Amino acid sequence: MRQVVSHYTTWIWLLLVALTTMSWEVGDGQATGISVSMVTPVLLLVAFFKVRMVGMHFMELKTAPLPLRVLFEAWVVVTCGTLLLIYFQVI
Amino acid sequence: MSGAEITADAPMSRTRAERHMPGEEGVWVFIMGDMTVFALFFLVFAWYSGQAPELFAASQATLNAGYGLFNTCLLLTSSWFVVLAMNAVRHRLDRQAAVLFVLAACCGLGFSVIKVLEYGEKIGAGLVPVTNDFYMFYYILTGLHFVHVVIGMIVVLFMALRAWRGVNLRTHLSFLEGGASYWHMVDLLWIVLFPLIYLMK
Amino acid sequence: MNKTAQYMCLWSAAVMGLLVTVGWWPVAQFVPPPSPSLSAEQIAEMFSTNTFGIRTGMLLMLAGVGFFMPFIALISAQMRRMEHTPPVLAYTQLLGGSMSVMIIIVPIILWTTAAFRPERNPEITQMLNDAAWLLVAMAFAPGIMQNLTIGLAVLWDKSAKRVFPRWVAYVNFWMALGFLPAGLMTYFKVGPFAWDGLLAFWLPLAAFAIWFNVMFIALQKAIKEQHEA
Repeated sequence: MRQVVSHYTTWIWLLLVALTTMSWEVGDGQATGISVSMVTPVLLLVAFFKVRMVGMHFMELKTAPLPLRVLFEAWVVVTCGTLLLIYFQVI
Repeated sequence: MSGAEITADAPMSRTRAERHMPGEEGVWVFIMGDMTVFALFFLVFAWYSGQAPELFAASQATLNAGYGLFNTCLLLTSSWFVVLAMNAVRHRLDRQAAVLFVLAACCGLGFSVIKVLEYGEKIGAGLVPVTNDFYMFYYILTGLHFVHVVIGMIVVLFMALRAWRGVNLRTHLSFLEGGASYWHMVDLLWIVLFPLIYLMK
Repeated sequence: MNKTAQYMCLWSAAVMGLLVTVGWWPVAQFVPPPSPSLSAEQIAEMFSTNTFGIRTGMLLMLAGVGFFMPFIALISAQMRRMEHTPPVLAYTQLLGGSMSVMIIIVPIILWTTAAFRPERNPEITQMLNDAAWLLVAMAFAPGIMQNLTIGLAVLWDKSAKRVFPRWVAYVNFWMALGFLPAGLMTYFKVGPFAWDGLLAFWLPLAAFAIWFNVMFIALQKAIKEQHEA
């Protein structure tokens, strides 16, 4: 059982939980040092970073055939990018 | 099935050179298709939010972000259990894998219970889908995601059953990998929904 | 095993697609859909100004929708090859398909009824129009049953050489989920989930177009392989 748990994905899981908690603190206005207008962009970038981590390490896309990996990464970039454009009212 | 053979021969020593598709390609047609539909939902939500920022901010303030936080952690943990279970399967520890799959499903059940409590609390306070645009999106986006969670729990339980009965890496790995990928997708969609609905300013 | 009959069933779907599209879109001008938030007078005016277009468009759609039946039967016939006996999934798909045809025919007749006496009380015309749109766009149950049964039949294919590639199953499952937002139009008169909205109308329509093309190509290939063997 030890070789199952002591896998690098356990660290990924801890990082994801930590980032989630940090996002919550930022979003709930408990953290200082981030101007209000930057809260949403920071939250979005962190969220899509987490999404990419899940894709690469949990869904094993890091070692998947390239077209599939590229498709996933493109989804992350396009979705996050468009959300940011909408937030900054470019669209 | 060439991918399964590689894994069966050398479970943990797969290198970048031996690229391997987790699950069958059809699962990925479904996953990418579903993610595209959800992306469309995210964008429409963000756009409507930009049209009425005060209304959306005021409605968002009535949500309890703690529920969202806890549920995100539950799904992340659930995903992690599935990753561990897949590791166990590749180490031929089928019974342990089954237990891990059941734990993953339990996290999904916890998510569901909290979701139902949260819906109940909001409906009790008179906040329903037709209250305003924010609540329309809140119920529809989380509701549609909830449908995915319920389907996912059933899939993960079938995976537990498969593991308990013993896994043949040549014939069963594709199903397990496909199911695992689907469950991770359910997790990653919620990773976006949490900040989008509960936290965004 | 009649090859010609199977190809006729396949291509009849193209006839259906053509007649329904032409009738619904340029002739009756029902695409994009009239907003559910329009007043009874505005709806009545739509039927009284484009009376001829709507009557003709509906006639074209009615003529076209019959050509959907052979296509549905063809899907079930190919599903029988996957299932052997008893072909319960093929039967369910056939039922779902028959119902799908019904929920297109009934709104066509409702729109025709609305355009039959456009000078009547506007509220009655509005009600006919409401019923027609809700039927054609919201009634997702038969479609979802078709998707689920086709998907399962493909995954459980017992024939020596697969009839459809397995990914066709997943396209069907995806389609079943893509249909779901249509059910929400009962609650909304404006916005993305109203019957003219992006997520309740255009998304299911796009999903249907993708499904239709995938099924067409998969069936064409299945018939070809069946007769080569």
